[in-house]
Amino acid sequence: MDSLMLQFRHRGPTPGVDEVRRLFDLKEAELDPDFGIIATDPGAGLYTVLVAESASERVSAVLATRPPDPAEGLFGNPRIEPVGPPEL
Amino acid sequence: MAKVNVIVELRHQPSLAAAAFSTAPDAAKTLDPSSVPKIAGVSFDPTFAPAALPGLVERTAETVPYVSGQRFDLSLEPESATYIVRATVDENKVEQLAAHAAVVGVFADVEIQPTPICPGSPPLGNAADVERLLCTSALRAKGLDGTGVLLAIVDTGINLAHLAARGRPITLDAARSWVPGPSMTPGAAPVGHGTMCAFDASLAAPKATFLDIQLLRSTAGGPSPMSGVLSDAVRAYGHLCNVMLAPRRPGELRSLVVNNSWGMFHPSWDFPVGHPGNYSDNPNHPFNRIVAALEAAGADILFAAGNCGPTCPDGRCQGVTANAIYGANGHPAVLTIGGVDTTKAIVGYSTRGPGRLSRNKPDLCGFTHFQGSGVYAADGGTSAATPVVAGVVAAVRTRMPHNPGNPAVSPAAVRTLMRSTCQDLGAAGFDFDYGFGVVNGCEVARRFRVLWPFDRCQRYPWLCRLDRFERLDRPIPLPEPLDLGAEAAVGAGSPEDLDFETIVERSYAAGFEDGRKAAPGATSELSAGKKGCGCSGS
Repeated sequence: MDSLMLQFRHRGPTPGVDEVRRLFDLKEAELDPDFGIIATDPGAGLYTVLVAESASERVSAVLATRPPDPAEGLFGNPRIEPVGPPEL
Repeated sequence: MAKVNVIVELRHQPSLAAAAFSTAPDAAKTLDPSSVPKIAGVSFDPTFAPAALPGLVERTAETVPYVSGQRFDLSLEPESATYIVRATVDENKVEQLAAHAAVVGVFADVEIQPTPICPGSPPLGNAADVERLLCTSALRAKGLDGTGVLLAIVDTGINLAHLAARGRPITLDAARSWVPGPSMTPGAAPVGHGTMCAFDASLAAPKATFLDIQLLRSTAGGPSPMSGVLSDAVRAYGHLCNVMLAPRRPGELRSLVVNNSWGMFHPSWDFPVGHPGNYSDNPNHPFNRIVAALEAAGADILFAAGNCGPTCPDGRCQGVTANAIYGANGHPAVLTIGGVDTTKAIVGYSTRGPGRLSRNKPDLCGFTHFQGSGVYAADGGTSAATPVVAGVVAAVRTRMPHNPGNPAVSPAAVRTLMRSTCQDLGAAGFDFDYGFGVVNGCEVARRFRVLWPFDRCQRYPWLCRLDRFERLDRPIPLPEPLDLGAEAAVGAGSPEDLDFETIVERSYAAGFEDGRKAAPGATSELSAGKKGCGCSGS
C-alpha cells in the first residue's frame, strides 16, 4: 500500500486541499489532489483524503493531539478485484 | 434395528425379465412382489423396476480376437442376464438375504450428490433459463421492469455495443456515470467483467437506466489489469452520494441500485485485524462509512459474497475460506449475494458466512455460472449472481420508488422484501450457505397487485361534477399520497416490519387502482386520450 486514507472530522464547510495540508502538516506532494476531499459521512462531518505512506508518522503525531476518535486516523487502501469468473 | 439401503442382484426369472425388457415408460414400470425373496426385515422398493445387467459369455480359443484379447462377450439373452432391484434391509438380515438362492449379491446403495459447480466448470443453463427462474414475465406483467430506476454497475466498465449485439440494448445515463481518468468514456469500456454484470442485471430490469461506474479501470492499478485500490471506491461512492443527494425536478429518477461484484480475496491484502487502519473488520474505515452514508441517502447496495467457498475456492483466496466475506461485502446496510447454479445447487466457490462486519451473511443467493453475456464461457462467480439479484431489486423499485422520509420504501424495507420472498433452501430459515434462500422473482411479483389505469371520475366522482359548471383546461390534481411515516411509527417496531401490501397499495393510490375495483372500460377511456373530467357519465 503506497498510499493511505486519512479520515478526519471537520466542522463547518468542506475544507480545501490547502487547509487539510495545513491541518495535518503535509507537504504538497503528500496529498493526492486528484482524489480530492471526499465526504465519507457528511452527517458526522467525516472527510477522507489520500496521503502518501511516507507522511504517516507526521499525520499520526497530529492525530495524537486531537481527542480520541475511532473514526479518525490512517486507514488501509487494500487492493480490490472482480470476484468472478472464478480462477483456478 | 438400524436399516441399510442396498442394491440386490437377482438371478433370472421370467417376471423380472418381463418388467426389465418391457417397452412401457420407466415411470409406469414396477417391481412384481412375487419375483423377490420374502424375508422378514427385508423390504423391496416396489417403485424401482428391475434393471437388467447383461450376462457374460466366455469366448472359446477360436473366437478370442487376436488384437484385444478380450475373453468375454456380453450376452443378449434374457436368461443369462441378472436383475438389479432396490431394498431396505435390517442390518442383521443382510447375510441371510445374500445367501438366498435367488440372490447373486447384495451391495451398498450409497448416497450420491451432484458434483458442485467449480472454477473451470462448463456453464449450466443459459440466460433464458435464468429469466424463467426469476419469473421475469410475471415481474413485467406487474410493471416491474426497472423503469425509472438508476442501476449503477460499479465495475470495469460497460460496453454498450456488445450488449446491443447480444440483443440486450440498455439505456445509459452518461452524465451521471463516472470514470477515474480523462481518456475513458462511459459505455465504451473494453468488453469485460462490467459488461457481463450489466447484461446479467438487465435480465430482470431491462428498462432500468444504467450508470457506468468504471471503478476497476483505475489508473492506480494493481498486479492485474482489472485490479484497483479501495480509495478509488471511496471516490466512486462519493460521486454516487452526490447523484443521490442532488436536487431533482419532480418526476426525475429517485431510486438508485448499486451493484458491486468485486472485493478483497485474502486478509494479507489488508492491515491485520485489530490494527486501527484495518478495512475488513472495521466499520469506521472510510469505505465502510461511505457505504453506510450512501445507504442512508436511499440507495440499495448489493455486494458479492466472494468466490472463496470451501468446496473449490478461487485460487486468489490462497486457501482461506473461513470468515472470508470481507469489509463492505458483509456490511449490515447491503445485500450480500451468494451463488447458486440453475438447478439451485450452491456453487462450490460461493463464499459462506458469517460476514466480518455483520454475522448473518450472505443474505440470499442469485443464479450464476450460466451462458449469458458471451464475455466469458460462463457468467460465473458471485460476480454474476449479484447483478442477477440487483436486476430484481431494480425491478422492485419500479413500483416502490425511493421516497426520502418514508421508511416503508427505505433500502431496509427492500432488503426485508428480498429476504422474505426467497425460496428457503438448506437449513430452515437463515443459514451460512444460502442465507435466507434463493432469489424468488415469482414471489416478489406475487407481492404486487396488477396495475390497471383507473378512471379518475369513477374513483372520485365529486371532482368530475365540477365539469358541469366550469370548463377546465387542465387535469384536476390528484389527492396527495398518504404519509406512511406516522403509521410506521405506531404500527410496527421497525420499518422492516411494515405490511408490504398496504405500503404499495397506499403509495400508489394516487396513480393506479386495483384491477378488481377498476371500472370496466377504464383502460379504453384513458387510451382514447380523455383526461381529468373527460370521463363519460359524469
